[in-house]
Amino acid sequence: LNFTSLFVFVATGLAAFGCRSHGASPSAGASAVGSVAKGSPSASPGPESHPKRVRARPAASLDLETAPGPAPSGSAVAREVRETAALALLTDATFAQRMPVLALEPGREFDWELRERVAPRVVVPMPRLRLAESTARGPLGKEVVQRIVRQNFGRYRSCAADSGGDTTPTGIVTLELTILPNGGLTRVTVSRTTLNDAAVVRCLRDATESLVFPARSEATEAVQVLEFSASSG
Amino acid sequence: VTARTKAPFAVAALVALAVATFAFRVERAQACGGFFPSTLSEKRRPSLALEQALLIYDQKSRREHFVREVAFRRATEPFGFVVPTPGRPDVAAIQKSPFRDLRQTFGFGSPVVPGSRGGDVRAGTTGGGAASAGVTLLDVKNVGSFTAFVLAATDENALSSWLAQQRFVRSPETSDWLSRYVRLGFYFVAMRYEPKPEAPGTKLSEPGAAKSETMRISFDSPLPYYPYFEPDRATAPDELRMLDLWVASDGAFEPVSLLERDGARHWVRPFRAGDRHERVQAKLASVIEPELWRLLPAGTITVTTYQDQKVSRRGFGDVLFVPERAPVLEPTRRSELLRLLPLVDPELLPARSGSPKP
Repeated sequence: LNFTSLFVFVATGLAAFGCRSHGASPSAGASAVGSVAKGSPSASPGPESHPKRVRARPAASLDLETAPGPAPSGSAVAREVRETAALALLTDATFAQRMPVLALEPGREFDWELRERVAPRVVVPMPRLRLAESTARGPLGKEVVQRIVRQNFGRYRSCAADSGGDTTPTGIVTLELTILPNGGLTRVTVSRTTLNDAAVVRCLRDATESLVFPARSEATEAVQVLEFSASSG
Repeated sequence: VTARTKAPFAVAALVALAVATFAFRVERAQACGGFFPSTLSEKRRPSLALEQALLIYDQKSRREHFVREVAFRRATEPFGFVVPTPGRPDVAAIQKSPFRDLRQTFGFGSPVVPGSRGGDVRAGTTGGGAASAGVTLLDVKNVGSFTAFVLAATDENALSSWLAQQRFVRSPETSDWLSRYVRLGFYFVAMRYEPKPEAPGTKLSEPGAAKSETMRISFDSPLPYYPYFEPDRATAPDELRMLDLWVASDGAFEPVSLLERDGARHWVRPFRAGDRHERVQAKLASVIEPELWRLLPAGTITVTTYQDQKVSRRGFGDVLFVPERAPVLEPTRRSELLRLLPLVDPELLPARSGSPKP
């Protein structure tokens, strides 16, 4: 019986698994299995500026046939023993980390494209877009800035329509531009927005960075406000 | 209602109980654990296609915020589902779905291993008003297309009857399912879904597809808890289903559940682990809205991602997340955990009311 194995594990402090019994001190559980990441936040409260990404854990070392579990119904196992075993499972992650992973239908491989197929596509209409206030300080007049920005309207609208949200994003975005004498941009900043969609704002900023303006003798500082509104259609 | 099963059940997941409408009677259980009008053929019944969840858990307060969004196929008829919770739940709508930004920021790992196997017990007297003997209606909320009833129950038959009165349909399968949670002392969030026209300017490309509003259910629990258990359901051979899960907490965990298969019981990990992102409290706060980041525990945050592509959850119980750094098992914590033990060992389930204790 699987439970027989488990009972042995429990009785021996789960030593066979390299686990601790549930009554042991928390630090005793730090002996993680294999290459499982050991650095829990509470143990290493590093600064926020040092986030850490850890690879997926290794495959389980047990298969289903050998994985322990509770005793079957009708077994002459005392309730206290069952509780001890279940508590061991729920208080010792090193025990749980050896259990088999069953996240797939039998015989199937993990499908990295599955989400694309099962998620319902949300189709939102292209938003209306217009130029709102604009200013320019330098040799490039604001009319020139507006003309170049307007040429990029298709990309801006795509940013909003492809947002993946349920509705068309609406609101304003204030772009601050520093245009070099050669027409390139050294700085694009979104100084204010009411779009309430960080991904769309990032897309708009990225789309703006590729703009090329006419060359002039000096740099130009410009501010352009874009206004997105829901399509009438 | 009188059905009895020997199946274990780690308790529940989110069972879909369908809702009978005034127009027709619902008579039998079907896909997704749901109950759908018997007038619908099997191929026309709704099925859950994509489930996305963010589980925020504070180890100090032992408070869980379960944020979920589900998408259904063929959801053209009214239906409903019931979510059991270990502690009294608070239900709220989430104004802006966090899942697109979570996916962009906290991924599931690259396809390097494609072959990987891959609180308080009901008092029965608190707030909300009495429903009937054995059932207490604690709250009712309209959350988008859903009407959410928060319930506590001490009598499984009374609960089943109350749900039926609210146009949730009962069957032997669901009555048995409910019975287990009543015996566990869990609460219930019964959500009745009425399809309605899409928001202006929005449409889903697949006819009949439905995407629910994002919803938050908050409750106390001694361990992070994912309602995963479902009644048996027939699955079409070509059916596809997927779960994406982000767990954000002041610690890291290992998910486990009971699996009953071929007469044997095992403990398994029901999800494929993706990546773990440590010390990401600032990053997480930048991609989720204040309505969610205010719920994060203080201190350093770890986000761990999981995926599940099983179509059928037959035999699987609810999922509990075991902390990698478990606190000392002092008497209070031990007592709290005892309530959850039947989820991983069905033989520890309390006796039915009126039945002699073993």
